[in-house]
Amino acid sequence: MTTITKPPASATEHESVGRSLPKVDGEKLVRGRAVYTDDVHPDGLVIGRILGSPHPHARLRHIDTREALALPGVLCVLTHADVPRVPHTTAGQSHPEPSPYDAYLLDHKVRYVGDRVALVAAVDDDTADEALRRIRVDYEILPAVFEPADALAPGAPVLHDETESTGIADRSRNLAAVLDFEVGDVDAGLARADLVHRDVYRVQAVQHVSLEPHVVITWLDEDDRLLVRTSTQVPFHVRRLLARTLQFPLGRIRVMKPRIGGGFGGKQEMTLEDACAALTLATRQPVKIEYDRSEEFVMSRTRHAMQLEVAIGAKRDGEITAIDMRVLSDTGAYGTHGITVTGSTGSKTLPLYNRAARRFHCDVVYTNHPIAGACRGYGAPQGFFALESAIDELACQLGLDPLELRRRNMIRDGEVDLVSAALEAKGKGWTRRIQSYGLEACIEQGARASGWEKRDALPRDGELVRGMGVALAMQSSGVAGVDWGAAAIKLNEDGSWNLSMGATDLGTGADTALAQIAAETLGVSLDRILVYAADTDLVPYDVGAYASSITYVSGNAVRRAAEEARDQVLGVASRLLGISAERLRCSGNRVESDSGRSLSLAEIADHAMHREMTQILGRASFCIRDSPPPFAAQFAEVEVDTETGRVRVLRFVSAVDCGTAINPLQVEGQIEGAVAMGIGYALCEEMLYDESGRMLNPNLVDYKMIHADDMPAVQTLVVESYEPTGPFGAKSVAEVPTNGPAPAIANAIRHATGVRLTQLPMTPDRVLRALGKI
Amino acid sequence: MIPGLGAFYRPDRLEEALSLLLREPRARLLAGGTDLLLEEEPVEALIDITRLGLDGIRVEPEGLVLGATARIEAVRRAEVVQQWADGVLVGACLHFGTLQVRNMATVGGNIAHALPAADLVPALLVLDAQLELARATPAGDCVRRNVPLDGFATGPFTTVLQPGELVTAVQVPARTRTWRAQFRKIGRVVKDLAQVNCAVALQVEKQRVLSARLAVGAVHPTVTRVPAAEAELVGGEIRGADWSARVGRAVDAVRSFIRPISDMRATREWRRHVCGVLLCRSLEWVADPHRAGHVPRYEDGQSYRVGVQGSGDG
Amino acid sequence: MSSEQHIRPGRVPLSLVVNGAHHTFQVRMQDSLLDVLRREGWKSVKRVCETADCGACSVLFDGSLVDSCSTLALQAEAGRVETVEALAGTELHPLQQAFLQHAAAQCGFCIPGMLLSMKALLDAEPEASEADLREVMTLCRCTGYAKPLAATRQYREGLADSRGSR
Repeated sequence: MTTITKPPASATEHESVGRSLPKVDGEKLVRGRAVYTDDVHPDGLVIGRILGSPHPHARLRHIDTREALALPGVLCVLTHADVPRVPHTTAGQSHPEPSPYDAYLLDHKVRYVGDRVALVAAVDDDTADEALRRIRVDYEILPAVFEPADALAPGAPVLHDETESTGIADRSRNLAAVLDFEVGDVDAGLARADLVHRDVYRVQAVQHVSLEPHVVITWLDEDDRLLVRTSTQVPFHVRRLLARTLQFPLGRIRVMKPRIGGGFGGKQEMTLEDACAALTLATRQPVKIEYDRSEEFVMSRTRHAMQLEVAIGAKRDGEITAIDMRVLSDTGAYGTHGITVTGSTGSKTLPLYNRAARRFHCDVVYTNHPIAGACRGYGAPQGFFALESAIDELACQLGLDPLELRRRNMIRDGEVDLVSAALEAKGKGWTRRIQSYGLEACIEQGARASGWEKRDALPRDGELVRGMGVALAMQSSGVAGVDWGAAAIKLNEDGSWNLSMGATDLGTGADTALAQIAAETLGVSLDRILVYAADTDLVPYDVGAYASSITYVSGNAVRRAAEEARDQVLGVASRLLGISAERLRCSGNRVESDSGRSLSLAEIADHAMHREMTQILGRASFCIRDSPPPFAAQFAEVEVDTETGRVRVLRFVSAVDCGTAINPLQVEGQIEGAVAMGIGYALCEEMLYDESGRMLNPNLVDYKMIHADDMPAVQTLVVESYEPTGPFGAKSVAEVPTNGPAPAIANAIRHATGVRLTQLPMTPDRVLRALGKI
Repeated sequence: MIPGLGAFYRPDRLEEALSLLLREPRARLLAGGTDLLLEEEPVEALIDITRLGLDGIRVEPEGLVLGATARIEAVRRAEVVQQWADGVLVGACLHFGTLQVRNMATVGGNIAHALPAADLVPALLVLDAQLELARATPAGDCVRRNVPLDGFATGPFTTVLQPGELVTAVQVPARTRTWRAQFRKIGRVVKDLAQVNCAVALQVEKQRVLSARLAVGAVHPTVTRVPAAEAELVGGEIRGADWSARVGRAVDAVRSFIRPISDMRATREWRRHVCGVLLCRSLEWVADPHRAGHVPRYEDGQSYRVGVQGSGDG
Repeated sequence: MSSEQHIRPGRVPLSLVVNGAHHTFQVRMQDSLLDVLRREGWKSVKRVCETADCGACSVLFDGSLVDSCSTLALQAEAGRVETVEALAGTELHPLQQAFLQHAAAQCGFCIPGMLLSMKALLDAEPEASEADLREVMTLCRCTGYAKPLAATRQYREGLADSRGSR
């Protein structure tokens, strides 16, 4: 068993951190009492709907709303003439956002089937639907383009010819953004290789399919402030984006995030809030917009579809000399998250093989497809599918054990991530050094649990053949220098605490994990912490839930806020007990001293509030300076039916190093959910379009997802390391396990059949074609 | 849901339902509603036929009778169904959809809707099912007729039902009770409409095939039998030297006969190939004397238990 | 006398017993059972796919598990509906308890439907197999099904214990 970096010797047995305590919101979830956005309606609620374009590319020559307005029960119809024209990005990112400012609340042009044409507010659904039908639009239909390569070619229709948009790399070529970086000399590395493997990988657009669709309710309160209740991962970004887009004072906007039914990156956006708010401002009524499932598919966001060309060179003995990755990324009609996702395709994956020369180039291209945006893994699943397939194929061709080849070349503890250094040299990001490292242990434990050594003995004759494949992965924990959060924690008279933070729990268990961090720091039991998040009026700022940042970024803020509060508690206790604070400690809901004298927190609170007239309150802001990678080794055992092409995943083992597991059961749950998502990505999920860019399968009948009866037996190994910069040693876990399933399954299919699939999803049709049966 | 609904009827006698149908030609019949209510086509009037007492599942002298409004889940769990022809209908019911859908959907609904991928139809076809139909005359008489299920669907969503006519029951002839039969289905994931489905049934006596039935779905404009393929199997010995060759010719006949389409679920080439594979596997299974007890539930290795009737010939 | 109901457009009355209490609602004719339940305050019943694919809207109707999104409200006339709110009293139902212990609820949106479907299955078949559990388990995007299955297995074992058949 290899050594894992150990926590400092002073760390003692934890009361909260590291224990699988029940979720703070668990009981109301299982009772069905949790309150989601659509569960509370203000009086007089009016229904908002969006008229989506039937054409993939068109100018709106004229919109006649008279017939719609004449319908009884219609309160207003808005077109681009009625709203401010403010270029912005809808991406929920820190300001100034790296995404182009190429979106408008309502525009004179539509750029994908489903793009906004007009907004309607009416007394009920049926009236709103009828109003949409009565809006007469004169479209000047423009030629459309759907392949990034076609969109880049001379003569292609230009999607963003408007002059107000900014941040676009080359609008005449539909090039939203481009990125290059290089570590070492790749051409020289490829030249000195004994073998170079080249291939092109294609990955499809999929969707988050959060069970709760996008939904928002907006209204004006008695002070004429704009109130927004929305299913969002990024309440503070939404507030800022609304202020800009509506030209409405930021301080007069309040964004509230209630319980959310899943996000996965799809709600790291301002998707509906601006439209709903515009209707409220126009009608002065409370308005709700809720997507039905087909609108959710077409009119929200998708994962970026990409084409990845990889060249990987190695010496016969297994030294990888160079890796070259070129990516063509389809960002759809607008560039939200385009460069950050596609850049991550290289910057989150190529660090894994730290000894090789590496080069990355990407073109992020506009097409008339629905909008691609943030999606769990954020470019890394695409990149790892290509990278881990390429290195696996290289191993096959060199006759080397695929795991050994990886071990030989992978990044190691203490190393500087040379990709991050190359990016910092270009002014993009900060260099990181590996300070916690469980990858070797992940490989060891995962290999043992999956039976890797015996994989060649898996049955492989007859129509059903079995194989096993592996993929390694890493991710990051927030964006260094950019992601930050703040927290405040105050003590109540009875010794309970209110923890108020901007961090957003999407169901991920963030509220619980952060409460555990606070409880641990304060020496109290978890039930003494009442979490409140997130409401832009009432809680301190946080960038929100994305980039695998909550535990690491917000957790650090929570820890520091709790430490400040703890120091105040110890100060009061010290005065009460007449013992210096250094000889006191918080533990078991009390303050204890080595002399045996102790006080309950209630006694301390009582004294502070009623004698010293002071509120014990800790607060902290924290911006991360590091982004330590979690690591994963994931193994898939598959059975391929060589007569139908159907691939069944029989067993899937994930060994994941996330630093300290603040709540181990929750960590496992994140891993298992990511694996299911990854299997769907690998085998069956796909957004399909016809030749006019209209989505063919915007429903769950035709967009297939993994159900319980498709899931393999899963084994989840939480391999702990200790990250010195993380709260109690934690890193992140939410995204990294999404990266392994697709390449591990592709590698297993290769092992089982000898055939390499390079396109996702690996449908029975594609497998059967690859096997030469049809 | 269904926009524009203006009237909802719930008769409690068949005669009433039939006269209503005559008087309201644009009314749609509502049994389980699991297909109808997802259609999003405007429907002016609905006639709920679930209170007409047509939900029985029973064995009569002529055979197994499934009432038109018998729920799929009730059919699946009925012991008489589990014991009939290797429990082939249990397989068809299980693959039909989720438990929630099976609790509402009905036998008659599935048949009358005439989906090219209807999951119940191949299994019923290979058991020579007949349909009992009824309609009202303008004079108010109830006219009944029986038609074979084979040929009932003439194209996607079209049947030989006359205006004002509805299915009251499905009859599976008594002689098929001891037949060997299997239903198979494959989809992109386990819970999916069929990319391909099929059923086979053999009447076997002393290893010799006296009758053969083969039905395929989702590979042709309607679920269809393939007589040319069936003919290859009749007269064969199920463990004889030429059984494989016969199966091969039967599969070839099916592949030549069907006209599959390419759609978002599968390409025509894949359907043509896999249809043959599923039939081949089904025929292999029914030929196996040790097939009792566990039927492959799906092309995924899981299986479900049925009571397999011995056919008396081992 | 005919029990035919000829109902005019607009709102019509619908009688339902929900979680043991009698109600008469005014519903639109095209309302689904889901529409009515949510409008009348049973927010635990969720709207997710509306094509009967996910099971998040599952309720028990006359003791049978059905999708409320594809059940016309009028079909349910005079019937008995149970939602997850009926599961627990002051104490959680053992199945809910198991879900809590196993951290089987993440975002929670699928949980009401999932709890009802697992309970319906095990009420009908206390010895339901692993394959049965997986077949009936409703759609979830967060958990990968592992902990909901583990929780349900624990509940099933608890049922076996109380039957004394272990």
